[in-house]
Amino acid sequence: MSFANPWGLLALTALPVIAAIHLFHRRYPRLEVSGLHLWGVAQMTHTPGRRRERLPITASLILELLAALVLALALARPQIDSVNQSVHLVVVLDGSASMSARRLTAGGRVKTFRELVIEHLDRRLRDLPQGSVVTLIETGRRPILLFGPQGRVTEAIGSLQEWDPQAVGHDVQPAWNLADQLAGETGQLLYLTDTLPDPERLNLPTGMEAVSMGEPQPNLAITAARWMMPAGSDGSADGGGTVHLRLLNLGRAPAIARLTATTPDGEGTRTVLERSLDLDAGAVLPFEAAVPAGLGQLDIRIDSDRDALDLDSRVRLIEPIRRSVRVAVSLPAESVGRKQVGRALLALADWVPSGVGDADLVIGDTESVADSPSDRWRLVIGPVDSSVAARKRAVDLSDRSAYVMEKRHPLLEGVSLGGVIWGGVQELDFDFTPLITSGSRPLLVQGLGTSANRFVLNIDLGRSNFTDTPDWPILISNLLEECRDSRPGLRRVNYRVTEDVRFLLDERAAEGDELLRLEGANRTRQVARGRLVEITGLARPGLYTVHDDDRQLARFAVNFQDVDESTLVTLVAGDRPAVTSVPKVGFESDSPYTWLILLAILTVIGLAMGDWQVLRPQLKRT
Amino acid sequence: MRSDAEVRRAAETFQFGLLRVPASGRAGELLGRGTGSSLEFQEYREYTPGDDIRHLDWAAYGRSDTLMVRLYREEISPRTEILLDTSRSMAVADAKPLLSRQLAGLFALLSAGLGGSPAVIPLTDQLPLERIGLDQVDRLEEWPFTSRSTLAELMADGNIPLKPRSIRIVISDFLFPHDPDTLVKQLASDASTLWIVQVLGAWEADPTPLGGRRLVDNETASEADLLINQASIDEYLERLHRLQRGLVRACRRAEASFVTVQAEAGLGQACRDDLCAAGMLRVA
Repeated sequence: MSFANPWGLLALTALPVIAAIHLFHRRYPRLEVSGLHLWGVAQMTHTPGRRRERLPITASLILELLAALVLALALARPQIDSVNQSVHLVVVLDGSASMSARRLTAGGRVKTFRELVIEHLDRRLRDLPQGSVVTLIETGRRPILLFGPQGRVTEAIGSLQEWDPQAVGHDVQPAWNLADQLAGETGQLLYLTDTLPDPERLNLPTGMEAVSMGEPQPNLAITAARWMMPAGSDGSADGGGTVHLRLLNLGRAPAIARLTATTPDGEGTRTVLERSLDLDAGAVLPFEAAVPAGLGQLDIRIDSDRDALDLDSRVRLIEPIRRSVRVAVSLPAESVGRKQVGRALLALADWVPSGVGDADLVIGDTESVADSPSDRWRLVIGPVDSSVAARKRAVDLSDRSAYVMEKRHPLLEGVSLGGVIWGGVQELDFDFTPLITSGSRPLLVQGLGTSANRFVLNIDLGRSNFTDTPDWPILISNLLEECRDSRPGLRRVNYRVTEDVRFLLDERAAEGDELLRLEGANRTRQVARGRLVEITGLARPGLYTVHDDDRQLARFAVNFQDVDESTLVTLVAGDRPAVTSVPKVGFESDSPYTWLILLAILTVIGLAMGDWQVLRPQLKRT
Repeated sequence: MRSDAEVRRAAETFQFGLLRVPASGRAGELLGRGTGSSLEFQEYREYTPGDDIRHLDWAAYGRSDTLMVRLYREEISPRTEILLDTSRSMAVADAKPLLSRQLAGLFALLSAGLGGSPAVIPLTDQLPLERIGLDQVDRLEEWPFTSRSTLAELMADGNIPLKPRSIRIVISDFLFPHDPDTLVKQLASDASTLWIVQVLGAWEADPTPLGGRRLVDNETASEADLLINQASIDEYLERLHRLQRGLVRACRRAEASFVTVQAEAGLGQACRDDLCAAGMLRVA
């Protein structure tokens, strides 16, 4: 037995006090007489042998002592022996999606590994000594405390009714570490999963027992899904699009699957696509199908009797939003630059020509660009100074010149400048950040002092071969994409689980003070508001929307796509006992000095009683 | 006790009141209760074989043709046994053991003055009981009153070595549970004379209200809480008087004498007022 509050045992000192009160309170003076029987006293106590004061054992004394004893025990909160032998069981539950797979190979009622794990846990909890407590932790990118810490055993299983493991591949070590910390030195550790961890690869806590309920299962999975609009589309709803899928048979036998694509239609759904597919064992099947535009959303799923996991057999795609960039080219009509820019733009998609006043991106010479609104993306193509004198002073670099590039700048992604002859390099008289330089000469710079991006290509295309190299369309493409990405709204609408979602807010939405609201996967959470909104850690597949109060700012889909989690043929059942056993002393719920305190109190009481019983009568006799 | 002035004075003032009571003992100065060889004629009776023919009254034979024997009163020297209760109850008040010792000493001196051989037998827990002769009677001055054995228990167990035809004087408070008839009968058995002197303390004989007290029997160590008020005193006195009446009645049946003396009154007053009145002493 132990005591949760051993200092409460100090109340036991009330016992001798009560006894003393009864011993001395209202005690009559002694009067020695010679014939007590003549006094006709009804109550007479015979005390043969040694004479001593005896404590009158009355009902009042007994009740008061019992009351004091009960009070002391109540304060001390005793833990009975069974509690002391009880344990704190810390259970780590594998939260990976594979736990949701069905055990197709088993006869009878098909159960998921999740259900098998819960059943196993239920049996383990029933075997625990009375008074034990349990803590449940789910693995994931961040460990989640499902129940507890140190919750009642009888409530643990009930807390798992809503448990729905859906996590993609993740590191289980943080969950183990958390469990190890919660268990302390006396808790028991149990890891319930669908495949035994490899102790050589993972640092399994020595006190942790691992139990796997998994078995190899066949599975079909959609490992990639994309809804694309055709290149060059002008943004009208008539163009339609194409759905690209990658299907994978992760079983050891061929499978026949039925692919179905539906779209919401009023209260119900409308089937858009239906195919029967044959997949060889281990085969990857690319699938592509045209879908009409304007569907808004597609729910695609594959069904097969050899598909153990539903989670990876369905995807929800949102129709991509066309984000065309309005481009104005203000270079002189017959200039080399205008011709080369136009040639590069023809190869790029999702842009529309525009006037300078309405353009998102203005490409022109120094004068024309200066007339454009200052909040637009701009590219100035040299010569910067078109005067004859300036052109004469301009320097032409040889193809052996060494170029220094700011490789991290997205505008230069993929640009190599190999074999480029840079001609017509002039002196620049404004503040800039160089992106490409050759010696002390800036070749491509980003101007400072404007709210938008203003780039200057310090070159005379008539004296350079830059437009003849692959770097030219790459540079224009990067510029167009950067401009597109700088516009408010989502860059993409379909994501994979755990993929980060970033998008820009317009200035009006970005200026608010309140947090944005993210809704999806049956939960709501808040997102920091800013010009750039970043949403990370989306672990649940589903349809998400971002709201600013009542206004919907963005809508996107997150799908489960993880080949490793979809691979169920490698699951292994088994039990790996803990390397080190936990001492069966129960979890520590009280001070280790409990018994010392109790012993000290009893000693003091014993000494007091001994003095009262032995020494005092002797003193009286002497 | 012979050095005690009060005892010496009492011994000079009083003497045994035995003459009115026949006694038995060896030949001496006192007349015994039975027939003997003294010169004091007692009565005639018919001769039976074995009688001393020297006591035949031939004149009476001549007148009545019947052999008549003259019976003479026996002359004895008194054998006195003084049983002194030395139990704890006798020490409950200082005056009780003092007067008890003085009485024992006085009776011993008076017995010795008559040529008797007194023996004081303190009733103690140490068996066999010791018999103290006159030459050692002064030991009574230091005799402890610590015994737990009562007179009744010692008598019932036959632990008191009593000699036949002795004058028995019992000095005790008799405040122990007993049956007076049985006790007195045992004491009087084979005794020529039995005197019982009950020595009580003043508060024992006439208690006063004290309020709540824990009464402790100093012999049995029994305890009891009691409110000593007039009601409880009345009940106590009723029981005490019933005990004394029982002793008186038993003594009357055994031809013994009983007297109660109060310890605080002192030896002189006790002899004068109580013992003389009871016929145990008379003024010399």
